[in-house]
Parts: sequence; C-alpha cells; structure tokens
Amino acid sequence: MSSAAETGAKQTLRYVDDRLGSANFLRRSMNKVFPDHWSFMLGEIALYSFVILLLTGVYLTLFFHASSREVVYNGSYGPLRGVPMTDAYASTLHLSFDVRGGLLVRQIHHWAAVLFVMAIVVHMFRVFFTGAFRKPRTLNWHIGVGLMILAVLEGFAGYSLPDDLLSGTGIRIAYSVMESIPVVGTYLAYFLFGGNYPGQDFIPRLFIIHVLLVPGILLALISAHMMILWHQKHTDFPGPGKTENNVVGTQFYPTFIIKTNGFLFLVFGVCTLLATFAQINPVWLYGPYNPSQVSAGSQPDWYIFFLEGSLRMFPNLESNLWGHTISWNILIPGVILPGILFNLIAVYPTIEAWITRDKAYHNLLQRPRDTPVRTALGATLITFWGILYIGGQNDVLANTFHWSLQATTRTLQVLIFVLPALAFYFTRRVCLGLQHHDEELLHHGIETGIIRRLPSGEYIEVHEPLPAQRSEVLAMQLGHDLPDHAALSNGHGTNGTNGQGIARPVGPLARARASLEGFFFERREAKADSEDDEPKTLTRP
Amino acid sequence: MSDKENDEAPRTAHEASGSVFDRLKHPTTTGGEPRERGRTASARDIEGEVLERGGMAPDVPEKVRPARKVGRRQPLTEKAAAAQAAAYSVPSDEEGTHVVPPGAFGVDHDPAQVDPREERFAEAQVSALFALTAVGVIVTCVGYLVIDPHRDLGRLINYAIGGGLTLALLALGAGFCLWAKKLLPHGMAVQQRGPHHSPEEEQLASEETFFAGVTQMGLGSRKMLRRSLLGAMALLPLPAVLLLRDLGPLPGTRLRHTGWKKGSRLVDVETKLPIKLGDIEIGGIATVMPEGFGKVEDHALAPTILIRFAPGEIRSKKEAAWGANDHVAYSKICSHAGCPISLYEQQTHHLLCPCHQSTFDMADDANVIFGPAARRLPQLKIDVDADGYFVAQGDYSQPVGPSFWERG
Repeated sequence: MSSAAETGAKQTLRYVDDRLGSANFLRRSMNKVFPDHWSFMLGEIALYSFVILLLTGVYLTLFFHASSREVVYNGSYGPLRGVPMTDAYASTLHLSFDVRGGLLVRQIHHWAAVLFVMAIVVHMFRVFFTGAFRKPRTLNWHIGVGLMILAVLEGFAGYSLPDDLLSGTGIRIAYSVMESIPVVGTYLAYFLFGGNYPGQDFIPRLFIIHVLLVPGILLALISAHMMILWHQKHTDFPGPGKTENNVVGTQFYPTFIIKTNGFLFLVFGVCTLLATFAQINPVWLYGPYNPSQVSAGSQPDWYIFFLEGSLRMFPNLESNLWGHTISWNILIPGVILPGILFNLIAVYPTIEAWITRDKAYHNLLQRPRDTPVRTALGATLITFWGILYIGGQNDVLANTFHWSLQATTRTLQVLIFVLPALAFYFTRRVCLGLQHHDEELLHHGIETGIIRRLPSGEYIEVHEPLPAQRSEVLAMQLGHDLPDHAALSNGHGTNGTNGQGIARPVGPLARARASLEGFFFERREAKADSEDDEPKTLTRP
Repeated sequence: MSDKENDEAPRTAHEASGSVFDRLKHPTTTGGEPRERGRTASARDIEGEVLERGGMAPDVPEKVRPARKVGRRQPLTEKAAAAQAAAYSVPSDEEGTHVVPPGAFGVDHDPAQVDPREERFAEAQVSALFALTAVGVIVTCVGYLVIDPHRDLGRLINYAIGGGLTLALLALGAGFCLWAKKLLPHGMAVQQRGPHHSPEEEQLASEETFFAGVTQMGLGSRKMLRRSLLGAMALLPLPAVLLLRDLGPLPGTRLRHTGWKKGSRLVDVETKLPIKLGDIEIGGIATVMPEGFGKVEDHALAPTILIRFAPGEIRSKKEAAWGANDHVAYSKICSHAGCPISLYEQQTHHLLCPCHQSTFDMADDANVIFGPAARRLPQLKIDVDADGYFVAQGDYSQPVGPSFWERG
C-alpha cells in the first residue's frame, strides 16, 4: 500500500474511532474466526440472493406500474398489440421488450427468488440434520422459520404482480382459500381485495406488500439472524482440536471476507447466467388475465407446489351446519395443513429438548447418523412434503407418462401415508447401521484385508487401529447423543436440573415424555444388547 | 472385567462348549480360553507383532496395499501435536483469537510455504480473471449501445448484455476465490467461545433491577392504576381497526349475485355477439356472459358455459328442464377454488378444471365424479326468446364459485 493511501486509511479509522470508539470492536471483528465446511455456504447463498433481489427489485420498480387500470397495449410485442389489458401487465411487457436489459433484470430477479427460497430450505435441512438448532441457537431457528415463510409469501406476491393469466389464476385460488376461513373469511377477502374478486385495488396493495412491507420485515429479521450468529459464533463439526468451547477456522479478515465476497459474485453470476440462457416466467406467452380463461397445466413456482398438491389431493369434504358452510376441501389443505407444518417446524427444537431433557449448550454439530430418530423424522417430513410437491403436478405427470389422471391422484393419496412411514423406518435403520459401522471402526480398527493364522490355528483378519486423532473425533461424534445430562448440564445453578435424581415419572405427560425419551435414545439400549465390549470411555469436552 | 463377570464366565473349555446357548453366551477360542464375543482380534492383540501405520506387513508390496484412507486429514506429527497443545493451553487473550500453524490441524498443504514461482503464477491467474471481468463489462456496454433492442424480439441484446455480465461476475467471483485460496494465509485460527450466558450474579442483579422497577411502578399493588391502564391499552387499537374498515365493502349478499338478470341474452365472451339457436353444433360449447357486460373483470362470477347436447343425451330431468332445446348453461367458475373450468370432453360430457382436476359430468347435472370439488356446478335457467336468441330466466339460484361461511 502506498504511504498516501495508508495515511488516508489510518485517518479514516481514527476519524471513526474518535467518534464511535470502535477500534476494539473492529479489531475483534476482524479477528473473528469462521469455521470452514461446504454446508455453511448454504445460508450465504440465501443471504446473497436476497442482496441480488433488493438490487434488481429496485430497478424493476422504476418501470413497473402497479395499476389495474385498463390500457390497450401498443408496444413492440406484436401478438398482443391492440389487446386491452391492465397497466400492470402492459408495463411488464414494456419492461421486457422496450427497456434494454429490462428482461434480463426481470429474469435475474425471478431466478434469484427461486434460488432464495431454495437456499433457505436447504440451509434449514443442514441446520436440522446437524442439530445446529439446539440451545443456544433456538431463537435463531425461530427467526429462520419466520424468514422461510415470509420468503414463500414474498415469492408468491412477486409472481402475482405482472397480472398475466397464470398469476391471475394463482390469486383467484388464494382468494378462494381466504373465503374458506370460517366466520371471517369473506370479510378478509373483501377487505384485502376491496370487494369481489378481482377488483381494482388488489394489485397496488400487493405491490406495496411486495416491495415495502415484506422486504422490510425480511431485512430486519435477516439482520437479527446475522447479529445473533455473529454474537454466538458459528457451530462446527467435531474435528481435530475442536471442542465445545472453541471455534477453529479462518479469520474474518482478510481470508474469509475475500472468499465470501467471491461467493457473492459467483451467486450473482449464476443468477445472471440462468437469466440470460434459461427463460423464466414468459408472461407474454400467457396473455393478460381474464377471469373466464385459464390455461391447462397452470403451474406455480416450485415453493407453492406443496400447497397446490395438497389442494389437488385432498378429498372433497364440505359441511353445512346451522346455515354455515365450511369447505374442508380448501380449509384443511390450504390453511390448516401449512399452519401445522410450519408450526411443527418452528417448535421442533423445544419438543426435542423437552423429550431428551437436554438443557446443555451445543456448539459442536452432530452427523445425521448420530441422531437416528431426528434424522428419520426429518426424512419423514421431507417425504410428506415431496408427495405433496409431486401432487402439485399430477396433471403434468399423467400427461407426460400417459397415466390415468385419476389413478395418479389416487396413488398419491395412498403414498402420502405409506412413503413417509417407510422413510422413517429406513432412515432410522440406515442411521443405526452407520452408527454400528462407526462403533466397529472405533473398537476394532480398520480391516486391512490381511488374514493371519494364530498359533492356536484360528484365522483372524488383522485390524489396523484407527489413528488416534480420528478415533478421538469419532468417539466425540458417537458419544454426542448419550443422555448423560449430568455431564452435559451447563452447571447453571438456577436451572436446577441435571440428569441425576430424576424422579419416577408422574402423570400422563411425564410418562409420555419418559417413553419418548426411550424412543429417542433407542440406540443406547440396542447397543447394550448386541455388544458386550467393556464400556468405552468417551472423551467429552 | 469386574469380579462379577468373572464369576459367570466358564471355568473350563468343556463347561463353555456345553450347549450352543452357553457357547454363544460365553464364547471361547478354539483353544478353549474364554474370548470376548463379536470382537475380532485386532493387531494389538497379536503378540510379537508391532504393526505400524503404513507398514502393515513386510511381505506385502507397497502398491497392492489397500489404499484405504480414513478421513482427509493426516495424523498429527509430533511437532504439530506439540504446537496444537501449546495453542490450546494458552489462555485466551482479550480478543480470544490465536493463529496456529496449519500443521497443528493436520492440514498437509501450507500455502505460506509455496514456491515463489508458484505464487507469481497464482497472481497471474487471479489477475487474468479480473481482466476477464473487465472484458465482460465491455461486452455488456458495447452490446447495450450497439445492438438493436427489437431485433429478434430482444433476444440478441439479452444474450449480449446477459452474457457479458455473466462473464464479468463469474470471473470476478472466481478471481476472489482463487485469491483467497492461493495467496492468502491459511493459518488456522482458534477462538475461545466464552460463556453463552451472563454470570449468575449478573442475572440476579438484572432481575433485581427489573423487579425493583416493577415495584416502583406499582403495577402489582396499585389495582386501579393497573386496571385503567389495561383498559386504555385494550381500547387503543380500536381506531386502527376502524381505520381499516374502508379497505373494502362488506360482503353482504354480493357473493350471491353474478350479473345475470331475467331476459339477459347469452353473449359470447370473445365476439360479444348474442348466441342464437343453431350457433353451437352438437357437442360444442361456448363461454358466455350476460349481454352488455362490459369487462369480464367486473363480473368475475358471471362466466357461464353453454353446452349443446345431442337429443336425449341429458340424463338429468332437472337439467333438461332448466335448459332449452338440448342447450344447458352452467357456471364456469369451479365450485372448488374458483378457477374457470375449460376442458370439455365431447364424448364423455366430462368437464375438467385445469387447476385441481375436479371433474363434472355435464350430462348428469354437473355431478362431481372426481377431484376435490364438493358441489355440482350451479345451473343457469335459460330459454329461447322470440328471435331465437338464448336468454337467462334470472340469476343463478345459488351462489356461484367456491364455498364461504355465509353460503348456507
């Protein structure tokens, strides 16, 4: 660095510190250590796609007219010239065909939105299956679930705005879902849409929800998410030299910040690549919205598929009692099911901690195999969601593979109960098997393929002991879910809870908890039966 | 092994090899000595053999040894282990970060030790990537200024500026990553985490401060104050709720009306021409709106489907009675989620909703034969007027579209 630049930088730092006293904070921040693992990038993808969404979204607002006013299109897209349509749709066409780069930015925005929700979901998988949501990170899990729900809503609002035939159909279904809510449904729908569907008010209202309200909340929650992460320090997988009380990795400045900036540009680059060569949401092909039309094979964005699938697969129940109609065929798949699903995800950490009586702090991650029941539960939920996802395109499947539509739907209605149960069973078995393999590795070492004959005449295969470091890590990983809470207890006197002296369970709730606890820690019992090795001493940090 | 276990173990080979059950329970070696079950002898158990890692057996040639590698990390060298131990034993300093040599964590590659020629090459690589970014930016700018934006529906300009931007961003990202990977120090750093919670004294002190404030405010003791405050706070949101009232009209009976009146002619939604007897062929359908409807958006519940059957095809008596001359009119708005139903199968008279695949048998009064819809589609009573045009005999007799609470 030239001395002039150095002096300038120094002066700037001084200037800021003289006013904020920030030098100590700055130094600690620069020295902050970030652990290194590929799966920690998933959250970064979500963060950076949000940045891309903000940048491209601001550009789009400069050209989009959030208005249901009727205009006659007169732009350069020939097939729709002279067609009456809303200003919202016309301005989207103008942006796509008459603004240089407008289509590109629109497509970057849409691809980044698809990536945003996808990265959030995969990031949640990582956090779930490695137990990163455990204390002390429970609050960040709750914020994360909120972010996921908002991201889905934001995406839906976004692709509803252009007011093409496809997005209009999506809004029509959303209106019906609102109508199905008992007592207040019609009022909710009327107040949100300003009257009967579709009305003149919805597009401008949706616009402000999409560009101000939800992004504002997203921004606030993402900031909180990042600040908590910064404050609590990142979790890490067990490894050489890693303990519950330290972080091992690279410093934030300069290595991590250069790497992560590179990653920002790579994510942006991939979105641009997709936007350039992979068409997304070609609204001009769908035509303007018209309540008397719909196109076959109407498909939402991927993150709405599960709702679409649940609406398609649910049986046609409706009740009419005391002069009031409840359409269960919309209420359950459209409102209650996602409500239960999202709430279950949100409270899972609390439920697990309650069952396992785990009050300890956890900074080291678990491998999915180390907690077979949790992993199996996750697989169950993903399978359930996956069937709904497939159900959302039953017509496309039936059409593509020349299956009967009815048979496809009925099969999925059965599979949604069968496959999640199978997923639970097999995932748990695989986890236990992998654990067993690890135990074997730990106790007997690695098979060398060398057969030896002993003086007594017995043939044995020579096992090579694991390197000390590796067996230490393995023991750490395998020992993680042992329910010795006395050792895990954080010594937090006021909590007054440790594993010792738990009384015989009293009451139905306590008994349920006790049996669930046994279920969760099944491995321990299984092991006691099958192996009579001397109890291994696990080194626990 | 504890004494208890010793007691249960068989004392002789004969004792141990008695029954299969006993043998399973107390396995013995072929020599009759008790042996732990389920455990193959490890190298450690073999007397007189010291197997070192990497040197399994002298008679096995180097190349045919199993290339089994556990983990990616190398075992610690003594020096590295010492460095690691030293790093952890140092009490965490103020910022809690120590940098330790890469070897301490078994990382075998140390970028700090690279050959200077390699380093110069890496620098050239990174710089080349940054130069590519500049090229990408130039491609974007030239494309923007030079290419006719309307050529090939804008496809060309999209490829040019999108391609340029992609190149610029990917090269920049790759450059940064390569820079971090090849040129920046990779010394691993260790940071102590410190406690996640405050010391207990601090927790107690803050609780005390909080409750002292509660006492001072008197929310516990001053009942009147507390109740009036709760009352006031409960009322405060009322104006906010009231202000939202004008977001829309109250539903009232609006969801029950569609815009069809007695005597409205059935007008084709596309051509806006009234439909006459004979306009539709047998097996044909048309989407119709009430005459003079203006825009479909203003009457989103009105779209109606007019179907012509061959004589005698209609199986429902009510359906035939509400129709006219083998023509029947049904709401086009699905009774499930409100999509306009559009797929009609002439042979089977099935009408399929493309949104959720509810299927209605139009020859049997729009009976639901498949899918999530719970109700038949409402039928519109029609007639033929003196001039041979189809007219409605009134509005739908029941609400059209998806169900709602007040539907009844």
